[in-house]
Amino acid sequence: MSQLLRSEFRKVITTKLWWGMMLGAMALAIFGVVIQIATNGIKNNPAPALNTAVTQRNIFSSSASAYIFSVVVGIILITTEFRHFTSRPTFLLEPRRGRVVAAKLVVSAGVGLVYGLACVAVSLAVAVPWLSAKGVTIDWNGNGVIVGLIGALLAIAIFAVVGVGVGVLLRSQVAAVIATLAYLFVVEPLLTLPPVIKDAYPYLPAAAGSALTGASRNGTTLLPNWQGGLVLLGWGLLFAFLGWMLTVRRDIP
Amino acid sequence: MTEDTGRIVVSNVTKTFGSVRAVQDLSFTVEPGRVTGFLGPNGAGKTTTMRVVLGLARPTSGTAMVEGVPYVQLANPGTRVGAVLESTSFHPARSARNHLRVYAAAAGVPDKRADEVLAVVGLTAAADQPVKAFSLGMRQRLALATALLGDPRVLILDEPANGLDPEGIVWLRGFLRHLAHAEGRTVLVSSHVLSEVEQTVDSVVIIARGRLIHEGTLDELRREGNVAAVVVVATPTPDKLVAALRQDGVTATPAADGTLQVTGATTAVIGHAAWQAGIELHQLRESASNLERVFLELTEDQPAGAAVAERAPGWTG
Repeated sequence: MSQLLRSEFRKVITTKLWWGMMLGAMALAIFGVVIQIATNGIKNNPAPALNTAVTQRNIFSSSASAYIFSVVVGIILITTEFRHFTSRPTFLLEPRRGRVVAAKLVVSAGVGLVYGLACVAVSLAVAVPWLSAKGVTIDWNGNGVIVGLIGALLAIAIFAVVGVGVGVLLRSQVAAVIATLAYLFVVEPLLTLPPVIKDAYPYLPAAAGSALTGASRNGTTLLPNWQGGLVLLGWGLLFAFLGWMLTVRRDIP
Repeated sequence: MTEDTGRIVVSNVTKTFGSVRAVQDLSFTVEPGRVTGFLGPNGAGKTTTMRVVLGLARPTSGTAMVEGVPYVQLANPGTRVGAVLESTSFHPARSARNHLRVYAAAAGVPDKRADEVLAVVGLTAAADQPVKAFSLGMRQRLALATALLGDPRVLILDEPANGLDPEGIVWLRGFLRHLAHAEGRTVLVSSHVLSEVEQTVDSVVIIARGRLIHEGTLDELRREGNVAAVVVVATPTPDKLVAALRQDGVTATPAADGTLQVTGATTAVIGHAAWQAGIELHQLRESASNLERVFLELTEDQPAGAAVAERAPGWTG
């Protein structure tokens, strides 16, 4: 397994994908912080003042939105194998294909953690000096600021695992990226509307991800943050398992 | 070491894709220490068979064993079997050296192996270039380098000469024979053109439409082929030679390049007839394409059977 992990790690660091996407993730994390601080107090912005607990938590968890990049990176890391037929040498060297998928999941979780750390770091680097310049005191000890930071980090990390899961299942890079983004931004938000699904809604992937940072979503009640994290991880592993069952065990193209 | 060391045994393998039978009840053995040509027209089932042997595709029925076990049960297979498959498998943005290091890690061999195999295939100068900058021939060399990473005893190569320039083909020929004859490895190399591998292989496995046509040495193929050999003769006076040969009941037909194509007589018979008639000869040799004609005859005259139109033999690319 250590051979496979080394091989999968090298696949990540020997193309530009990982840092290109990480720069994108960091830019999005900074954007979220800047928007919230810069527009606070402007007319028609309903957000509470910068010194309130809820706003501080929202600012420090806003880097979670960079999960878009980590989920796409997860998808690309696995689907590129099928796109460029590198799945062949990979599975020739390790015919126990489940182990390859497992190594991919572990390495993508590591990549996701690095993304999460980078995004949280830049959001702190922007928000902390800016808030202190405005004379706002940050309440580190309460109000979910630390929870928000950790939640954002974990959301970004776990979504990379989810991306690998979806990629294993769908194999096609374009299809997996489009299906994932369409689901997260169009389909799941609509699922808050039908009353039947409403009870199950907190267990859906995007809602579980939002629960991690303690944010509310479309006015619905979410899971406790640690449960949200586990549910999201569960989705990623479920997709990977289904992918292994349905496609990876079959003939390799 | 067991007696199965280096041996590939394919037993009654059938592989169907939907209603298409790509391979039908195919059995053959590949021995170490020689180069075995795996021949057949395009669509004959060569690639499918190789994919079954390598565990990338599951046979519908039958078994394929490498060193006595199915490929998927080999421990650390990268150090036992190396493979080059028809479509090359590279990430375009990764450099050749990094490509090899990725798989060196997976095979559990030290990183310096990457530079060693780059030197073996003559790609050292291009080691840090991304693969997307590589020509088809360079990609084939890199694919071969990947196969050699684990220093495997068994090599399975699908159309490895594709895209190589003439110099590369000569190099590959010598290299494969060295691997088999001097180092005792098993080399199975597929091609759809017999003449391409005629000078490389010691024995052949010929399939057409998924079925075995012939298994044995090239000499056996020549004997069993039962195709009249063609002798090529060049002379400044072809008309006189045609007449001389006709007296002996031998037919000679002029070819487009001015030579004569003679069937039904050996070079000795033709040479003697020319000498007796006082005819000057500039060339007298067996046509190099004789074996190719045996191959064509064997693979084209098969009953249609369950073969399907989209997998019919073709001779392009």
